[in-house]
Amino acid sequence: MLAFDLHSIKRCVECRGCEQDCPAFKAGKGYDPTLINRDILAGRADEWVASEMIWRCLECHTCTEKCPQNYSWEKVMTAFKAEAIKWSVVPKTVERGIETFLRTGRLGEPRSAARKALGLPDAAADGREDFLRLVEALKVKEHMHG
Amino acid sequence: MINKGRYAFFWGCTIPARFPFMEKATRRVLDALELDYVDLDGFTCCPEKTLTRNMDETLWRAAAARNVAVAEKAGCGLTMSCTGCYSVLKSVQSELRTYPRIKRETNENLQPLGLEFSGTHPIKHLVELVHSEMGPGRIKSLVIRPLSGKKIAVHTGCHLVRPSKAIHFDDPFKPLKYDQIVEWLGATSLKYSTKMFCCGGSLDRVDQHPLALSMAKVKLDEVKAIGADAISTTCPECFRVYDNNQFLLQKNNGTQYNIPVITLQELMGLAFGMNPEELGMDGHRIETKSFLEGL
Repeated sequence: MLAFDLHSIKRCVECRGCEQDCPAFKAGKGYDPTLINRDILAGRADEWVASEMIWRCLECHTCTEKCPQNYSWEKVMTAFKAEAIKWSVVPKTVERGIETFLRTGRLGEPRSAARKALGLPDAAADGREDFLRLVEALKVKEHMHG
Repeated sequence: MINKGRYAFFWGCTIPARFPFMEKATRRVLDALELDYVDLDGFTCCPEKTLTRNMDETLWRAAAARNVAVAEKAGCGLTMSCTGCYSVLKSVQSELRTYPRIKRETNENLQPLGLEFSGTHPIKHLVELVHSEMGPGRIKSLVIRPLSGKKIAVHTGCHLVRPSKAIHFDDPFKPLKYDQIVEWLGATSLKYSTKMFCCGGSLDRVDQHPLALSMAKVKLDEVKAIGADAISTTCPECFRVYDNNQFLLQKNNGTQYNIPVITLQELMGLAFGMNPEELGMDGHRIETKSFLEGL
């Protein structure tokens, strides 16, 4: 059973301020976090973990800024995303992104040929050695599949 | 030297990996502004929030605090063009400044690396530095080719102003400062209803490309309807959406918008008299020629 701040979800006053301004809600059919909230309250949260819907939240913070209860759809969706990563049920690009990040501490490498052509200086050295020590010390990989 | 402190420029991952020409324009403009900045060794990804915070919040916070600590150790604040990097680093700095326990625990993780977060140095986005530290007098004095008659749809970007409790720089729904800089350069900043509509770039990172295209279309439709000469942003992710995804929409036989995306750095460079080649503007996918006509 997923852990949510159920008190906050129950306190949702259904002002629909978040819905009115949510760019993901406006842009695509089928994304309806109110429906997901009802399922959470009915004890069916687990059913949404593998859904592509939870990844539609853009984390643009619009609802977080507006929510009169100081909760928001974003907090619900990020809780789902965290769970999906633990369960290894994530979109392919997310899986690849996490792999790249944990291996290199970055999400992309500087392009040295393009830099040269543009007359840019060599890119500064990155901090991946330190980063990998952090990953090791925090036992990140064990937690992920724990 | 115009600014009071020293800044390390935080280039992030996307600019060096995908848009090195943005770095070129930025460096040219920073020189023209006489901003005292340095490149430091030792940075990693900021780290990008939607991916890494949801994966492991402790690592996310420690890695962000580590980046800040690297700059602090060199006696520098941080400045950047990417709004994602800005929002992440400001959020973590604000959190650690506010909660002593989280700061202590994070520093325990940084201690074996010989680093410590103290929260003493400023983190300011380029827009913030230009607006608040340089101001209209300084910027206007550098303009030798005013962008008169150019109508710009400023795309502020969500993460330049949110979360507002950490950013403290401009209004999270009705920001004005980026627009004011555009006006100092002689151009007009258009008022439009989808100004704060998210670019939707993150959808391309969760395998929802068709939805990313529909989101880009929402803003492009309005920007086209109001007759903008260009969209302007400083964020490499927003730039990718309005340049590359606009290109893809056009290629798929959609509306032929042909609205160039001119970064704030490029607008400043052009107004300061630089030519498009030295700003690297031939790297865009949507032609910038229409914008350059009449300048």
